[in-house]
Amino acid sequence: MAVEALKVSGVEKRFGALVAVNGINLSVLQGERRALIGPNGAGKTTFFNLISGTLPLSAGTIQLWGRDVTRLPDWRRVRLGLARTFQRNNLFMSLTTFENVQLAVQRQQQVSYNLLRSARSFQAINEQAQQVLEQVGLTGRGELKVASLSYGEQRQLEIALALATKPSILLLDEPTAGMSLAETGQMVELVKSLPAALTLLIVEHDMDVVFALSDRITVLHYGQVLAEGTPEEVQHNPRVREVYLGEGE
Amino acid sequence: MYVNLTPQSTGGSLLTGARAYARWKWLAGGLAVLFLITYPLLNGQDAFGLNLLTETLIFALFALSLDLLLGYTGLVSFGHATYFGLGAYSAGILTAQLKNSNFLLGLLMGVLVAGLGALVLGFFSIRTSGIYFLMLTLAFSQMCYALAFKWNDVTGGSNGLPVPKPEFSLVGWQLDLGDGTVFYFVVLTCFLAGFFGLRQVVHSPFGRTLIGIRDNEKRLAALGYQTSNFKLMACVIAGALGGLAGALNAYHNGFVSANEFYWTTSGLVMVMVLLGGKGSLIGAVLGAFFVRYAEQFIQGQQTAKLGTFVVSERWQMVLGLIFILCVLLAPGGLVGLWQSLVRQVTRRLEWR
Repeated sequence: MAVEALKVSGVEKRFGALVAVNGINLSVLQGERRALIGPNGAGKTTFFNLISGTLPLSAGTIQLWGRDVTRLPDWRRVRLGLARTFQRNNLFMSLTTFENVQLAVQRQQQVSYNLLRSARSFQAINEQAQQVLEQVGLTGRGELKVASLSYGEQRQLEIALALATKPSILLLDEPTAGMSLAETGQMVELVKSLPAALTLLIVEHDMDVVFALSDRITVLHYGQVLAEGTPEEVQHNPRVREVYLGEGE
Repeated sequence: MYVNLTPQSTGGSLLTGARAYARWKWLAGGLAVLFLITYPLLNGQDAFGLNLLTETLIFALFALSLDLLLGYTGLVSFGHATYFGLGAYSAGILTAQLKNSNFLLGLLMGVLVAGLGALVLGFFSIRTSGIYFLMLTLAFSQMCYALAFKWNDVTGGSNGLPVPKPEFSLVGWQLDLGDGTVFYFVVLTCFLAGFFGLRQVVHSPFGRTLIGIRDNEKRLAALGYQTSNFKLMACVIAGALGGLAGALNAYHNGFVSANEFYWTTSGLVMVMVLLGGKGSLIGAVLGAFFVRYAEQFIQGQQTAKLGTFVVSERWQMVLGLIFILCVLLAPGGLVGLWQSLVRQVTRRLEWR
């Protein structure tokens, strides 16, 4: 039986009177590709922020690989193998593409406190950074300032930064948001090419992308789990069709 | 496998510009260091000029230390005078009150006390950010000012503390620090050590992390960084270097007063960093030189008048005007201005 990578039990988040996440239970197995869908305001991004530790929870517990991380800050969860990307590009704008990845790799290789050597002189870091850039298809773009990358390339760099932390669980927050059709296709290929052992949790609006990437889908509605199952099951679930898939058809 | 959507060539020309600029920087830097070394040898009689240059280098070192926080880490400290004052009083109290005239020990005390002060005050202030960080650092420096002003027995209170001439001796090697030229070379050594030391720091993985904090602290945390550790270390390094500048200034003036802690000292060094260009070590140095020499120049214009104003008596006002113009027209400071000039020139050359 596969190992449980992420277990979320009874998680709640209240902003004053507003209940954004209202008791979600979720269990994701190692290597699973899980999509998280739901209409706008269903609490998907808030839920992501709770899992990654960007926001504190109001109630419930979160476990990574069987370890309770409910009260751990975001940076500690990263060190336990949890990485995330952001819905809006969230990069280091004054650095080059390569330096962005270097920054992520140097933390993973634990040399960030080194004061005395040039950041460029670490062979192992440079190699790994180059490898990650290759993995996301940004080879040859390393020397450019992030600001001069195209939007789609910045999305690729988002993923590169997360991969550079060598995660075992990766949270992708709308990886294809704002992308052209061609860019979306590339992104799907990129996500498909990720190692099978990597556990993925993807928030996505584009249903084609969801069906292409996920092997299980969880549908959120008003901060609660409305349905969960394989893409076929979810597609044919009458309640899901009613609140979500049926919309506008 | 993945299509690059922007043409490769745009990157090429940007890079040639950057490389040409880097070569320029080394040449200009070498000439500047050569100038600083030969200045007292060529102008042996000019005690006033040497004095001004010594003081400018001390303030340049002070500005460098602030730039690590303000320019590289994005922590807007408006209380950097705290560390200048701590350094100055450490050296002053050691020499005047404890009757220990060892110069190097005085500098060491200045560095250690200011670094320790930065560790304690930084511990509290890095919990805040933006305007709150600014206000908190300002409050700490004003508290130190009040303490220095009132604690007569130790600090000399409102009279300040005269600092006798210190002795320099290191394993039998004696220097006469009363000689302006000798003292200048000691200051120059500290300045160059501080400059190249910081240069190493900002290019290290640690320095990259500080830039990451400035750019996007939340994302850095999402990469597994415990950012508060880095901010605290930056505070300690900046504080220690500010303390070194303060101690040198105490020995240079032969006097320490509570004004070292006053917010105007923090303001002055901040103006230096912003005028020169924050986030650039050269910028901090240029800013210090610009402010000190512009002040000297304007105060020397005894006859120039604007209506009934004698310009030389309104130095602060002139500096204020220059600062406003700079913020409006050249937010990157002198270095930013220079970089955009270089960029335009290289672009013109490539178009041809």
